[in-house]
Amino acid sequence: MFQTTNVELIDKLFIYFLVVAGIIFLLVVFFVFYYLFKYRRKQTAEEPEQIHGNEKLEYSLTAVAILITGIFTYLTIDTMRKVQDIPDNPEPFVQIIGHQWWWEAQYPETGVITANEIHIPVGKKVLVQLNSDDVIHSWWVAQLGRKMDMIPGITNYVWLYADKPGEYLGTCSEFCGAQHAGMRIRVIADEERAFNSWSQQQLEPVAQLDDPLFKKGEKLFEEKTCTNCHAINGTPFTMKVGPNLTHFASRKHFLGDLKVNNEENLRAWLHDPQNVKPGAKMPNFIFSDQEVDALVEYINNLK
Amino acid sequence: MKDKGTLLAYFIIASEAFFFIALIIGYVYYRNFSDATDTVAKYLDAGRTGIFTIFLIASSFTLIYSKKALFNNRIGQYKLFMGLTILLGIVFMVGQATEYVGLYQEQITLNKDVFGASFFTLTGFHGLHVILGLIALSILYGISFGNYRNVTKAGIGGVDVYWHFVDIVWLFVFFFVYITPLL
Amino acid sequence: MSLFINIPEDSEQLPSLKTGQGKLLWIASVDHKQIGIMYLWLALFFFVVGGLEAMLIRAQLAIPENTLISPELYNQIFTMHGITMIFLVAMPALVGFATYFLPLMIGANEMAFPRLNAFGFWITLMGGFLMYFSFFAGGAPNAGWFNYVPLSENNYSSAPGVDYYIIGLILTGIGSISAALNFITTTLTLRSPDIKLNMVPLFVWMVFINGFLILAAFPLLNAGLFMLLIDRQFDAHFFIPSSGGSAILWQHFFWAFGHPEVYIMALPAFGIISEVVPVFSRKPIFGYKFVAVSSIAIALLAYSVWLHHMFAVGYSNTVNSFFAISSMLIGIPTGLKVINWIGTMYKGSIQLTVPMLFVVAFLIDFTIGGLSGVSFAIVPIDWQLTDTYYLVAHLHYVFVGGVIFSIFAGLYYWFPKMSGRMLSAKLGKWHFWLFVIGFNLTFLIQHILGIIGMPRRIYTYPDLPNWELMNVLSSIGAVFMFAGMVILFWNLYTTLKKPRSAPEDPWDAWTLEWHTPSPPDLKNFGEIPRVYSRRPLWDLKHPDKPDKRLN
Repeated sequence: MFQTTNVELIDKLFIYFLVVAGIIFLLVVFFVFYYLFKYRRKQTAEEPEQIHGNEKLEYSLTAVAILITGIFTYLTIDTMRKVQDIPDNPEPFVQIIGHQWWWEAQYPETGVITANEIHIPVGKKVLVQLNSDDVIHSWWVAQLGRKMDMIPGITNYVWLYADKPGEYLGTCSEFCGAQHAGMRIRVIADEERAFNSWSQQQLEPVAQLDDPLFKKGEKLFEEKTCTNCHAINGTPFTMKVGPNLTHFASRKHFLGDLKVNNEENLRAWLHDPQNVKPGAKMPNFIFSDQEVDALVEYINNLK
Repeated sequence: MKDKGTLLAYFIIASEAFFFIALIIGYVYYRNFSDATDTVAKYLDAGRTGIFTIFLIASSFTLIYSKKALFNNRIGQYKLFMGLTILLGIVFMVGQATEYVGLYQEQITLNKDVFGASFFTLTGFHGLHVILGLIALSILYGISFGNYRNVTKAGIGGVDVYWHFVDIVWLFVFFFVYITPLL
Repeated sequence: MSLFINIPEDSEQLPSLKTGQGKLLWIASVDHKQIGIMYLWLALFFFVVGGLEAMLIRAQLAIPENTLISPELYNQIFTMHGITMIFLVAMPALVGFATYFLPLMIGANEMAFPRLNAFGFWITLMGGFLMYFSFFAGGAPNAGWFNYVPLSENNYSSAPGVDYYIIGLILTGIGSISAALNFITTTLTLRSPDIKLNMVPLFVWMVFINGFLILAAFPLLNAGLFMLLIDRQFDAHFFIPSSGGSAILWQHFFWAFGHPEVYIMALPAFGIISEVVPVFSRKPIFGYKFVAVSSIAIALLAYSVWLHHMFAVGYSNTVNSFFAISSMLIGIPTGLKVINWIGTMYKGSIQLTVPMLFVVAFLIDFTIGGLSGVSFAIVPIDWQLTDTYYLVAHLHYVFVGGVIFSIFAGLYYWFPKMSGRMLSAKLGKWHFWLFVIGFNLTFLIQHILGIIGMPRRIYTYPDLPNWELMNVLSSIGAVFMFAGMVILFWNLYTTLKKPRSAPEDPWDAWTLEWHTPSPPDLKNFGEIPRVYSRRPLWDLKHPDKPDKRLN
């Protein structure tokens, strides 16, 4: 199926605007400088002829302006309808919830819950439901669709569409507090097969190893009250204050796409969250090196 | 227009009107465009407040008479009606105060929910305006006993515009807060 | 016995620095000229403060992943930068010019309410200082100049900054309302008997229309501010969605004020341009009637466009269409004004003085700001570009390219009248070129930054291709602007040290303020010349070919 995507529609409208605005701007520049050059004051100048105006000119220019406005009104409403045509009973493919300062994603069909890295299939328009858990955020991945605010108490919907596989970057676009800058988006568009296997993998139960360090980490995770905020599927711990960590190690980035998910960054984060992401809600637990070792071993194996 | 004081009073109340429109819009918005149900309205006694409303409206008429008397140099009448205006205003405020006390005894407070907040904000700001008006009227009244020459046309010209405005605002508040829940 | 007497007009001399000695008269004075100058000093002072904040912002953003400023401090700085430049620089500067020149231009000796005038100034000053005091009281406001809820509620901004923001804005708002009351009543009651309302200079006309905008806009903000204050101080829930409040209502209140506020700053700026262009083109304004009437159109339309700040909130296409149409329409009267200013230059005899240079820069840069503004009325474009650096660029083209350039034009134009001294044209040209080149360098490129995806209000950004280059260029531009401002201050300092030498009418202008000594005496006019047209001094200077008589 070949059709214009929403982003292409908006881009086209922007080009039309640029052309018209460019012409108007060049006319203004031309007349300002032409008159400046032509009517510069001569040395022995008398007062020029005192012209008080030209009503015909003003009316006709107003008419031209109204005409241009009319054309753009039509284009605006037409494009708006095409871009934002949400069905009456929307069935979202994925629900994304903004938190200070990370993204939660839930896929109602499969029951997958993940955070920050959001996977969608390629070549398919997917409907996204947007909510917020605390303050107003705004969802914006420019290459995939329009921007839409996430407002507490209100549910919004947008369409996303990726025409080729890859990683698309976006960012929170409504100022949401200290780490507004640290609330970036990474949408990963997969081929249908890859997307399905990713979903399958996300639904698997939480990893279990017999490694004593892993066991120690698992115990620490509970003892040190990590579970007060973070959920691990298949355990009694279901709090959703922080990201769900069941398959944390399967994500390539963490902290709202701020850092690459590797051992070094994870270690730094556990040692002193405020140093890595100032203002973040995760407290500093003052872990010892051994404790960090165990926790890193545990979390990094949650594939 | 010659009298710049009255002119000023008109522009001040025009500006104030926008303030009250905004507060009323807030109340109507919560009533009609949010999921919350009005928790305050059922505790309000429109009949009782209606009687106090009549007192406030009456004060507007007595003020008109007192102004007329002043301009016709009937000083005794002026004092009588001005005193009556102030008294009626005070009666209204007493009505408001007892209503507030009653609501607080029913656990309806500013921080109960949006309706508690809207109710007290809207009527509270109106009450503040009534008190301000009472102060202005009392000054006019007080100086009419002392140095007469200081009581000027401009003084009463501005204050009466303001007082009528406060009355009219109350009619809107009364309609939106007390009457519409009954409809 | 009569109970009342008519108030005697000006029976006693009003307190002023010119009536006596003593520093206290700076506080006691109710002379409109002195209050006007104090407004301008206030604006200049806060321009320095807000400018330094801007420099910090540009320093922080010059390189990616910069750690110069912590995110918490950055948020306070950009919030205060916005509040300062809008409420403590642009507004007081324009109110200052209006306070000084409105009575002079209509042949009045004072404002209608001199004491109210002084009250307005002092309460604005108080509001400004209160907002800055917050830095010492636990943190400045940090939720942006439009202070969206619920971020600005106690749960998310527990520092007292937002409370200072609320009180400060209420105070400066009351100051603005007092000023507006004075402008309207003065224009209506104190015009010289010859001057009909359709004969006032366009600056007076714009300030007059602006008065109505202020009277209707600020109460909406104040209502919202009071509700937020009640939320924060008395635990109400107006704006807390989790307990029945609304996250959107504040946005409606704020922008129903906020968009008229843009025109509250733009209209007097247009007024200054409408005074300066004719004088230096040696021709009357092209289409007085159109400039005047289009201002009324702007003032009315200004109240029907606020939702275009909220296109990304998720309203239905129908609602958005209505506001898209009204937002596009408001571009027409504004564009018409640009045409009239250019028309005034047509067949003129143009003198490129410093004020006129700023007007030329205004015409170019404000057109950019106006056109990029229209792109936000085209809803789908707004859906992509709102809250990005494209928007930052747009608003700076309007506020700096539009308003600040006009204020500079007004400053160079009226400085001889206010101080009795001419500002150096040579230094003025340095100021002009550095500031205008720096401004365009800083902000033109930000359009592109926004289009490639940089959101506004981020304290740092990742090292993506070209982001650093563009941000560095932008920061270099800011240095140019800073240098331009240093030169302006040097110019003011050296000029004010010289003795008074400016003639009564250095620009050969046509409005009544140039019929007084420079600076004017305490009583503005010994006698007011008879006025028959919109340009009384033209008629006096050219008795052979006077303007058409209008009264």
